[in-house]
Amino acid sequence: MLLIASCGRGTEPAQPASGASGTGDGTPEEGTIAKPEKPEPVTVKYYVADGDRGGLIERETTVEPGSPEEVYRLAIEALRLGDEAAGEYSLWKNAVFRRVELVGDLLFVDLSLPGEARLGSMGESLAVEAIARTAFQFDEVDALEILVDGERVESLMGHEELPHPIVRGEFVTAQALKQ
Amino acid sequence: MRRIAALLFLLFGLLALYPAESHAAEPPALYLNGDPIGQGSSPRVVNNFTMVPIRVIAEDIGYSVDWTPGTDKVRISNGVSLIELTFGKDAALVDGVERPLGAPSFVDRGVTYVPLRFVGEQLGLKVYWDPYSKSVFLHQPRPAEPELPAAPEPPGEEEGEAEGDEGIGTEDGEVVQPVEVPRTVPADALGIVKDIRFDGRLSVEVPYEGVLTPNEPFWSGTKLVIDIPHASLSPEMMADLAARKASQGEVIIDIQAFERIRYSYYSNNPSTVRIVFDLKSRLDYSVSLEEGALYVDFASLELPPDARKYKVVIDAGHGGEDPGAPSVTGHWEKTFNLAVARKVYKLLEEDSEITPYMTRSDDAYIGLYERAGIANELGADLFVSIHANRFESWVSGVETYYNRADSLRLAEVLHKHMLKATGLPDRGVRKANFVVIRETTMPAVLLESGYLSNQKDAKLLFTESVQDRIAAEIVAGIKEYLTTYGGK
Repeated sequence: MLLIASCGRGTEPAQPASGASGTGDGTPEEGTIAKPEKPEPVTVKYYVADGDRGGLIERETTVEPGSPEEVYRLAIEALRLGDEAAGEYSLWKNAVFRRVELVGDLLFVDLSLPGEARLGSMGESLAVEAIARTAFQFDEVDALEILVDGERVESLMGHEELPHPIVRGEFVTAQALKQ
Repeated sequence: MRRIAALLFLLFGLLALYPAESHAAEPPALYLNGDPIGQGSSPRVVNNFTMVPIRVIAEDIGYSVDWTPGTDKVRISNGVSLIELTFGKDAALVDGVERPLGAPSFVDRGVTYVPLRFVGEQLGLKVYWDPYSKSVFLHQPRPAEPELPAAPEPPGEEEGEAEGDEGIGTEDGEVVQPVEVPRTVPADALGIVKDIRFDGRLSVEVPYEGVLTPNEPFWSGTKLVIDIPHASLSPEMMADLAARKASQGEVIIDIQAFERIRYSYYSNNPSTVRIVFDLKSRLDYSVSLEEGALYVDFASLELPPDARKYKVVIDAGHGGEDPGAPSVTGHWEKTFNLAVARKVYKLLEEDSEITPYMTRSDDAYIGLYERAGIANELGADLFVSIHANRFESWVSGVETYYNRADSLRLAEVLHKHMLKATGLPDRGVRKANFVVIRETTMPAVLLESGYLSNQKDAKLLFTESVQDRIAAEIVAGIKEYLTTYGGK
């Protein structure tokens, strides 16, 4: 959490759902102090696991990026939301997103996976799909490079390979083949 | 030139007709008489027809295949019959008579493909399609060899003793036609085999009279065969066979890899005695012909460990810096995986038919592709990856994953045993794209034994007696699978 705060540029990470409350609470607080101008609210999509892990559900939340490039980080952070009372579970709620940054058309996501963030095989598969879908909702993102503690790893959680980077076209094709 | 251009256009057109085919996930494998063939030109499935490369098959069974550049015709001949194919045409000329192909032949990258059924019918091959391994097996029925045409069988015995009297086959184990056992020693027999006896240790003695001229021994599978032309069994031995109405005699050994010796008057043109050593594995041997006796000495009768029938790779998931999932009881998944994998390994070691291997035997990280590579390089028969799951605390149960169609049956068998071992809810056999089950080349599964995020599951999975039970059931499943479906 400290890591997030330190690189948070004044905006707090989207808060994980508390489990008790309903939808729509995922909007990050506008913790931005001394903003030069009022941020425009932006609607972003994110993906959560369907109750019994049958697949992913698409959800939307409104974020207020302090700058245009901050929208990516807020969208990725939204992956930690989940309305568990409604049977929607975040696949990323225990992960720590250290850095989210668009460089050219490549979105870098550097993250940490504490023990409790590590899922079983199908959980991993869905988690990767959820973050990739979230990243590729932005037309300008052509590829997603996920690093774990700054390192390229063969696999996020030890079952599926993690491409470096995940390329939009390949991801879309792979998803289509799954069906 | 115009002709070639037209042909190229034709070929290109044909390819364009089958665009989906190039994306087919797994081309079927092709075997001829048990050997894989057609590397680089696998069979294709086009519009529901299985198309196979004709040249590699035809040439392997003694046909010549000729394509004259500049034409769109291929001539396939064995000197007796002639098959003429025209690319893209739905029929072929067989000895001048037009026969339907079922689907047009086509050429891709210099390889001519024709429908599988046509190959079977016109080249006289038996065709067997195994949908699970996606393999095409072609078998060429072998005509009895002219020099060794027959297994001896007393007249009038054709219908009896079908069981247990499989006969000493030809080289590929096919039963052959009966040859009458002579009543007296045939005139062309220069040597007479008087007995066949085993010394109880490593040596087989074949005493004889006259001149013995044995052929070079040859292997048929794990059977060692010695043919002795211009020889006969002694009148006593033949009388003994006749009295028992048997076509062959046998000496039961049943020591380690040595099962028995069988012998027969195998042919009358010339008179030939055949001696077959039934072994469980190919053993080192030497043959020495001395005056009055032929000796076959084995170096050892022990079944070599690498000659055990099946290789099974056990993969303990995660390890080292990849701990896998944590359990609510404070353990790591990698510990569970390794503990069960070790137990499985130990149990499999006790089976004389199985050689077990582990991708990791301690707390080390092994890459996912490396794990699959280990199994592929070994030419393993089965691959079983052991894992435990994690999601929300309320989820409980067993899942078994497979990727390729050839792994579904293994998944189903092992899933059943995992349910029995754990008593946890059945969350099904599922298909997924995990590296170790996708990149392996043999039936491979990934077992998610239970949910470490669930109190009940986690407690169970870290109970020693339950781990023992899981290991025992995985082993029972592996054996059940191998018994039912065999190895790779």
